[in-house]
Amino acid sequence: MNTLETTPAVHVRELCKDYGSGQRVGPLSFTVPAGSITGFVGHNGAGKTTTIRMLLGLIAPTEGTADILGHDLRDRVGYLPSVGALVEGPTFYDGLSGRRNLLIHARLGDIPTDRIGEVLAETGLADRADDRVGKYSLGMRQRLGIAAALLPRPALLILDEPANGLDPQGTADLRTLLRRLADDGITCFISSHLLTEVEQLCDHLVALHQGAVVFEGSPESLTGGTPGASRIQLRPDDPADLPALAELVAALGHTSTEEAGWLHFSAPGEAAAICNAAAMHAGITLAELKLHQISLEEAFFNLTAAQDAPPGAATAHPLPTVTTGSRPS
Amino acid sequence: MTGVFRATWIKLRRPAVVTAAAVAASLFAVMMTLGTFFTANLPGGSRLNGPPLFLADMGAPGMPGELIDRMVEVLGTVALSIGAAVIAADYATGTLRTQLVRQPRRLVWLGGTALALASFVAILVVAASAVVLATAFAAANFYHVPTQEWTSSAAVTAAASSTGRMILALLGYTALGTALAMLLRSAIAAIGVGLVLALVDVTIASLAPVAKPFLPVQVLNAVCLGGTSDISLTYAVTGTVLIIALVATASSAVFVRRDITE
Repeated sequence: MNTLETTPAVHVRELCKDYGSGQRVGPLSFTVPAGSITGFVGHNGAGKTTTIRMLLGLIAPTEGTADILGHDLRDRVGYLPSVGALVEGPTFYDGLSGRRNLLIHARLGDIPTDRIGEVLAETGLADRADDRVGKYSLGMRQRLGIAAALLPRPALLILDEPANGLDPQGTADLRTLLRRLADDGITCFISSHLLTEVEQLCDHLVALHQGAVVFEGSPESLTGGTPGASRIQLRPDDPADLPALAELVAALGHTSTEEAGWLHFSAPGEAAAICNAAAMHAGITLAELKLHQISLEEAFFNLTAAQDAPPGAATAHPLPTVTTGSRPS
Repeated sequence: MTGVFRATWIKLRRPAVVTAAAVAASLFAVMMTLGTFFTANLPGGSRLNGPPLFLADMGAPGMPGELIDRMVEVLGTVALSIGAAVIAADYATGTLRTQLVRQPRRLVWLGGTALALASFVAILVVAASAVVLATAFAAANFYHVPTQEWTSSAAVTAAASSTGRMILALLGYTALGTALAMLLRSAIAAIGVGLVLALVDVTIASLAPVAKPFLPVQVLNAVCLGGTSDISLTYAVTGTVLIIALVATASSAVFVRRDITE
């Protein structure tokens, strides 16, 4: 096990960029575990790109610092040769072929030119490598951007919205590629607004909202560990049991609402089984029990809505329900 | 720096860049040379970018060099535009940020890019000089100007010397274009401001000739002209080197510290 596997690939500490006129990102503190695929999510304008620019040494932070691959953020010459990046979409010279564009990157980074053929094959562009980039589709440009990022055999891959412009097959290919790279020990830090993609791909998550980190952890801990993680609905067999059932749910620490003979409340997923057992113990027969495990997207919306809402306001978005259980015996 | 130099040459060899530079330089070379012959045949002689020149004097051995010297302002504009366009395009298209991730030593990037631009401009000057000479021989034949002296060793030396001085002058123009592009991050703005500054320079020079030694464009042009009545060649060469050094230092200071937000 090397050092990178035991220490975070990226450790950001109180990093902050103040643009003046009230525009500010941070202070941010988070880590990107080595060998992980870390999703960096947030609404447009949350500060994702600014953070990535700071990590890549393109803009200087106003305050704070970070360790990247064991180097201080200011030592960009020390860590950038081991970083592959796709920043704010792929940018290339339209008049040059994909291969010539990669040759520019190879020359700049003193990278052996035989690596160009490898990354072109890896990203499925070998057949179109000698076409002018001006003739490429957005998806092909995106793949060329990823090829450029892979050129230096990076230890850390920082990709800003890598799935932009990719068709479903391209997105699936990207997912496979990133998973394979992570399996090879490459740390992937991926900014995305496509939370369903992040959910399928990432094993670590950093969520940004209005320039601040609002969540860091595994996607499961966001969807399963927050108060609004699951939407639970209970219907007693006898409608007259509804008030008693509501008291029982309240006693378990959940705030419920009644609607058309149903009791609704949000809670971690395991609360459904606990309520079911408690109801049975109290002699209340449940006719139906519905559990909806919320998606990462819904969890993220709940999280950011909770940040925005004034104290005491309801924050959970209405959720569709999927039946996952039925009446107890 | 070698890697950056070679990478920049890949960019400079794009058909659009080569074609634009070659067409502009060749067109100006042909037009200026033909214009000089045409006006030299008029009663007052040719006053295009230099002292009066008459057709009767054009058979002199120094004439090929003189014709090259007179190209300095138009080729200077081309060089300024190339410097501005190449740098500003990297800002405008966002290719700069990807390059600086791959080559994080910004001074190395700047140095390699500047050397590649300088070599490109030098090649352009040599090519433009060749076009001037070819056009001059054709025009001389048309105007019945004797050209036996033009192939003497003195004439060849003078033409080579003019080309060398032109390269030095155009490096100054390129440095100015590059610096303006870094400051303004837009090719159109950089070229526009560059041309306005050149115009102001020329206007001040015509209103107050005593100020000529302190005006950058006058100093750069004086290098190419081998010195003028107001600016000696030694002063012009020193001034040009100083201009390039100052512009390079200021550009580097800005570039190293500046946030790349494009």
